[in-house]
Amino acid sequence: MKGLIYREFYLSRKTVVYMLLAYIIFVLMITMIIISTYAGNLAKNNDSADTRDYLLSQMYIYAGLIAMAGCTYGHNDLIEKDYKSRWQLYSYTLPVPEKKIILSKLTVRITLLLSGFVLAIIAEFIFSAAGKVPASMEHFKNIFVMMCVYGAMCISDIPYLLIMKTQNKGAAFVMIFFVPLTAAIIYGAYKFEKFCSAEAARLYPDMESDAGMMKVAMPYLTKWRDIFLWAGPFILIGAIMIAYFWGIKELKRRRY
Amino acid sequence: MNDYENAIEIKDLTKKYDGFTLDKVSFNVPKGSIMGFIGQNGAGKTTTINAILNIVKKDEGEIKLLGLDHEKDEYDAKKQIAAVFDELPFDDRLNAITIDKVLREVFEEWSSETFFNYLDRFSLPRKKKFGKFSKGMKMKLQIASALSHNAKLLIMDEATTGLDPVVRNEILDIFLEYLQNEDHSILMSSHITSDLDKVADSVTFIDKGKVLISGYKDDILYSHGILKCTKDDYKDIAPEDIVSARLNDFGAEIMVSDKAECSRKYSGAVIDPATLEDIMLFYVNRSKKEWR
Repeated sequence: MKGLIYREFYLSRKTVVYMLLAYIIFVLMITMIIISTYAGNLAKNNDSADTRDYLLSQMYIYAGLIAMAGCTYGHNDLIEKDYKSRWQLYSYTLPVPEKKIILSKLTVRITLLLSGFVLAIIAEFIFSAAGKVPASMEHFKNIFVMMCVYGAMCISDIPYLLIMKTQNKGAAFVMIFFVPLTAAIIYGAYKFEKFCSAEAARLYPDMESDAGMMKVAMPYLTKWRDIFLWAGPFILIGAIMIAYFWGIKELKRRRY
Repeated sequence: MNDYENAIEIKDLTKKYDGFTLDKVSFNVPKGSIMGFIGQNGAGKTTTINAILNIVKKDEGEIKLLGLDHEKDEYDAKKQIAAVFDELPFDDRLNAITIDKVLREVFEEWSSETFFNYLDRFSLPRKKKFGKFSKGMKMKLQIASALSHNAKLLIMDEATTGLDPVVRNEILDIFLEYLQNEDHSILMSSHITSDLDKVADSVTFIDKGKVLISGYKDDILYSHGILKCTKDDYKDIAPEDIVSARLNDFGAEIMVSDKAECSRKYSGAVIDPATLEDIMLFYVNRSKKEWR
């Protein structure tokens, strides 16, 4: 299995390096902007503290997404390339059982995902240090939830692509479910916003509308985040288990 | 160690697809020999090989590899088998050094020394990416990797197709060298019958999913012949002696499957030796009986 893992890492490495560069550039850029809000050109602006607060509250999410998606992206299309290069076919001629093939893919994907998670944590530390504030436990929780949700999708992609063979086909098929789901989420978000807006007008008539809305929304968002914080690991472990057994079953079907 | 007489034993192998059936295919590849597996495109060669390697699941039948069941003892058998396909199954971004690192962890008996010796012998670069290899280089690399884990059985699917004669000859020489060890065997599918004329000990001919002939090449070539006669004489040939006949303006060329008997029966007729290509051609047209 070591050989298979080595091969998967080797073939993913270039994309990971490119995405790592994008991550470094992004983190450096945001760090410099944060520092600039108190020690550079941006410090001259009246709203420099607001800008800094905004950056500190948002940018760790983008850095985390770049890190996690970047680390796993190169590995995502490997199954399609394996079909194209006929490695998938060749792997059946090797004295390696299906469970080892799937395990090697899962090991690489999980390692890359965890590397992305670590980079996301590092970004939070860097941004906090640049903003001269302590690293936020809330942010760590959010990054963890992000990793669990993104990780579950990313890991389920392994058996899914074994069936679909190409990413285009896979993406097209997933759209069938994704489009109504997105529409439902957007509609839900719209209804939630309306609710928050109405509640803010009722409870906090003296506050600015955005601030009032946030005050109403925050307890709900935190509650949902905390639910995900507990459910996330189960979702992720569930996805890994499903990917493992489904992947073995799929490989045993021998789609040739 | 398991004892076996035949490197491959196939009995009544059946696989049904929409529009094609591999129909009760049976043949053996004797240990220490090279068997040519011939047939036109779509005859069922690749399906048979994929079934042998358990790449496709058979519907019925029995397959034994080196005396082991190809499903129950799949991984024990595959440790001692090497497969070579018509195209290199390695990613274009890899090079020989990485493939060595991968396969030495996969095969217990992988020898990096043997692998790199083959690379040197074939003048293949170690660091060059496979994407930049020519077709001949890719095939040589595939053969180098197939021969580097002490495989006892080599299964090749159209491995020499598309290669120039010089590279083909070089590769055939390697196979003959590999067969110097009497434990080694080769099953080689091809529609380039001239290659098999050179190296094969036995031949199995498949058409439309059915095995038409299987046996030692010399026996097949000895028993078959092309009887040449005029149109008038052709009428006197018994239908049961004719595999099929190629007619032309002057007469007929008839493939006979029992040359000795036909020589006695039609004493005046000229019977030329047949090549594997002739046999394939006449058998493929057997349903028409007469063709031009």
